[in-house]
Amino acid sequence: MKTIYSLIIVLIVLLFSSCTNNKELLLKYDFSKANSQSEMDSLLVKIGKENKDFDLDTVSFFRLNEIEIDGMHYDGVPVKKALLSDSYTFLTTDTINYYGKKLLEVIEAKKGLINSENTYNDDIQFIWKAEREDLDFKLNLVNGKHLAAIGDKDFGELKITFKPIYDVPLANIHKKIKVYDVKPTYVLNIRSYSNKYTVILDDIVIAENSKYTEHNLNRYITDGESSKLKIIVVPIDNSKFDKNGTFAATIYDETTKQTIADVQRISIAGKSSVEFTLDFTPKLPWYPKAWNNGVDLRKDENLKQKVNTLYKRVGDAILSKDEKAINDLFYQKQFEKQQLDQDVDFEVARTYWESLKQIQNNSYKYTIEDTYSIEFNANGRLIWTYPTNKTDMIIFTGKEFSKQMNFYLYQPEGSNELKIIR
Amino acid sequence: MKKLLFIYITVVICGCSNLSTKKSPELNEFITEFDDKPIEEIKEEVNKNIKQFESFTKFFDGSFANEIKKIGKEDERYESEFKIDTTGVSKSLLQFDNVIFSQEFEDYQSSLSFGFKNPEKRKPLELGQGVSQTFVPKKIYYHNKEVKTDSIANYEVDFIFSDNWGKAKIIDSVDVLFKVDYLKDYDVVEVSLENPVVNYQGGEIRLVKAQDNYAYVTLSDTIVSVTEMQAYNMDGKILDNSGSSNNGVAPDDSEDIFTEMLDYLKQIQKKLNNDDFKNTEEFQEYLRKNMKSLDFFHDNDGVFHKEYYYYGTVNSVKLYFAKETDTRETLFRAYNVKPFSNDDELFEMNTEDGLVFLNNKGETEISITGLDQGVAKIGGDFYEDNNYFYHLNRSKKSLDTLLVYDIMAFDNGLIGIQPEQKDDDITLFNSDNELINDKKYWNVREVGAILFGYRNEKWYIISAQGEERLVSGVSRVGDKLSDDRILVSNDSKYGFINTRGAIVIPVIYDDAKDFERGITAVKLGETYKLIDIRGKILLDTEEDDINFFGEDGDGNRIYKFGYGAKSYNYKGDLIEK
Repeated sequence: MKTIYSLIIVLIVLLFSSCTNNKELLLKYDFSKANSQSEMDSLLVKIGKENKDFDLDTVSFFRLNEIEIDGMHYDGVPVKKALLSDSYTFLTTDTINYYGKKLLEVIEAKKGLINSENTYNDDIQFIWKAEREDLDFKLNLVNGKHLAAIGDKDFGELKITFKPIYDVPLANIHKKIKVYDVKPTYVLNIRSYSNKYTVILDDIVIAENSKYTEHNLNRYITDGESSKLKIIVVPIDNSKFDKNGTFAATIYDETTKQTIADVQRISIAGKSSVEFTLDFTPKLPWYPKAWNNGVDLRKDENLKQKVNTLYKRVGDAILSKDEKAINDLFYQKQFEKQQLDQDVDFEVARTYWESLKQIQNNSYKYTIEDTYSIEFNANGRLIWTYPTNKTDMIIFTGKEFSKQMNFYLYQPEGSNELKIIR
Repeated sequence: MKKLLFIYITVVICGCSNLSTKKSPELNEFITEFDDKPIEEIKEEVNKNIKQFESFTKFFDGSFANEIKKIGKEDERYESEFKIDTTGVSKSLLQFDNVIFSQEFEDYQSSLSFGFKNPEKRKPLELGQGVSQTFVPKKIYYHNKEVKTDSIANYEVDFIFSDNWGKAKIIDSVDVLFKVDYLKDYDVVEVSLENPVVNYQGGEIRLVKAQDNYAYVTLSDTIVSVTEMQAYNMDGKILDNSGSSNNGVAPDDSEDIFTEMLDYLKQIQKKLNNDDFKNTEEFQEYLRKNMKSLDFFHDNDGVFHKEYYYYGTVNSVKLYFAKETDTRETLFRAYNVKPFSNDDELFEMNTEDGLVFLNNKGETEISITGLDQGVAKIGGDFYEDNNYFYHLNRSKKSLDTLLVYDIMAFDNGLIGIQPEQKDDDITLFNSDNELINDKKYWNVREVGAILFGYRNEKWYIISAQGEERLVSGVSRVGDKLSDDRILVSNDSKYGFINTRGAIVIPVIYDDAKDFERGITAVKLGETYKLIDIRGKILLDTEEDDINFFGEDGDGNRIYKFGYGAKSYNYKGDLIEK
């Protein structure tokens, strides 16, 4: 009797083992192994070759293949349906009860735990963003959000999107950014009604007749010495301030909410212009090179020629899609901006680079404003140009596409060329 | 001619009713179509279309065959008994006052799609049972004054799709005969499971099979065409039809037609590719001799076969035959919706390798190769594709690329160009890409066919020559033209101008809406009034608040006031609650 019992056990074990092995054998198309769109494309070709009944399109640029075959899985979790396009892969599990939850576990083990996104329905969504690949996982809760209600109508969906890798330093600035213990962010906040403000920090005009009431000051701080902030206020209609007109302003650290300097609320009624000054000593963990080693351009007779040359370099670099030239032109400006923000998010530099690529791909010409006035800042070391006829100094044009640019420029000592710095 | 062979064969197979009597004229006509075609072109067409035919046969393989199946009583669907309905006949003859067509060109062929000037009328009236309508093209008036009457009867006057109308030449208008054939009296013959054979008109009608939802009837070839065939269930209810097949040959034989035709086509293809035919005449002679030998042209069984499927179980079938008919007809002229304005105008045509510009005689004037497909006309001599704008340089016979932000064409023939960016002022050019004046407009807008330009805080009406007429005292111009009235305002008050720019209803209203069907609502004083196009107050609604307009069942405006408390129809009549 015992022998028979053992035999049954052995048979059950064998059967189970056979089933398991069989299942393992079936799991032959692993979407988690693809690390790029080309590897995913290769997987599609393999599926196509081994499943002749499926007439898969592996060639078209805008292909969209919907596949329902046995053997598809994501790192061991069976996938019921796969939708493969030229730019993304969309996997659907059978039910949450079986493989939906399991798929989430596998991704969490691989990519780490993150908070779920807000959704407009009962579904639960998680998004992992990385330089090479974005994963967007959604638990579709057809039966409602209560755990007890989860049933065989609910399922999981995973969208895999591969992104191009850019080698250009401008798209990889985040790798160079140092993070410090403190991250002070000096912000000017103006509280007044319906006026225009000119904001000048240490002789740099950072806003002129602007309606904006908040300004990030970090980008114009170049050392830890005492700074002087001047605010010139005029009524929006250039007449006189209203009888109830008041003004107040604060420089505060956005990270600590601590007030650094302020102008207490004061009446400005009846006046046509008022000017306030705030002194403060910024303390940043890192100071940019900025225009510190810039030369005084006020007496440079060739300055207009230099401005034109700089913008021509920008135009030529972008139209000719010269990545090195584009990188040289914009790297320092973008690096200092991200370092001041201590911004290590890979998407910031990538987005900036892609915005430049968009101009490259959509433009067929550029035009430079040749009539403009020059504003000298920081004792003549930093200049801003005001175009007379055009909206900006350089305009890129394509078919129903345009992009405008205007920059703060300086000339480093020992150089004879202007550089973009803000 | 493109795809002619393919289309012909498809038509023959799908609609070969009474083929035995019609085959010769059709075959001859088909073969004659090759008359002007070089043998190389025929070879190319056959090679191309044979692939399509293969897909076609694969696609339809077996799918013509509806399934014979049992349909439960609860799933049966019924229709009403056949009854002559000629109510729409007279009205249908009066509907062609404003027929237009659009003409397109591709690969040296022209295609026409018909419609009505009134965009709300999409297609001709649908007529009742026992009435059929046909369109027969009678004359084509080409722009080069040529008039064609021969070999045009087969061109389709299609109000939904675009159909081939011969060589690429500008057509100004076409004369079309509209015919309505309708039954005045008819015979009814019934065959049933109990009484499956009936003699009629010296021939025989036989219910060969009635099983579940399927009825198979044969009729002697001597019997005239059936006007209508209806099936009845056991309870005498008329079953809805779900599919049918009409054939000159028996059902079993018809399945082979595709295969036979494909084999035959492949033989032709082989001979063409082997250069067995010296010229087109030799090819035509071969067709004449050989196509006749194909089985499907040899309907020798003496009967016509009708297979029908229904939503229910068939017990008997009634066949209706025309006994007395009548015909009414009218001739109408349809006009090209975009007529040639100048005799020297060129029209563009996409070809496989580029873009060709033809003159009004259909002769090639300029041929540009190496362009991406999809170059389309903007207006005048300006063109665009996905990436660029172009201007047709007639003297150099080339397309000049224009590196500008945007180009817009206006109905009066002027072209607006923004050189660099979205916020640029618009400058106006003529069709030859010549600047018509030095004015720069902040905004250019078409209201109806009127071109308005805004510059220096003033609105102007701009003529086709670029001359300006000031619309004085107006700071805003509406975007709708109705009843020769355009809503304008001077920021605080509203009024109306006509299409000549004259203020015809003074700018005195606190609020106003666009006209529709001769009236509109304006606010004067404290309340809304309905006024006519002369500004005459028709009535005072005594309401100080207007809601959004509603619509009646015919799409006419309803004026709603006081959150729907009071409503007026488009004529200004109070709508009783």
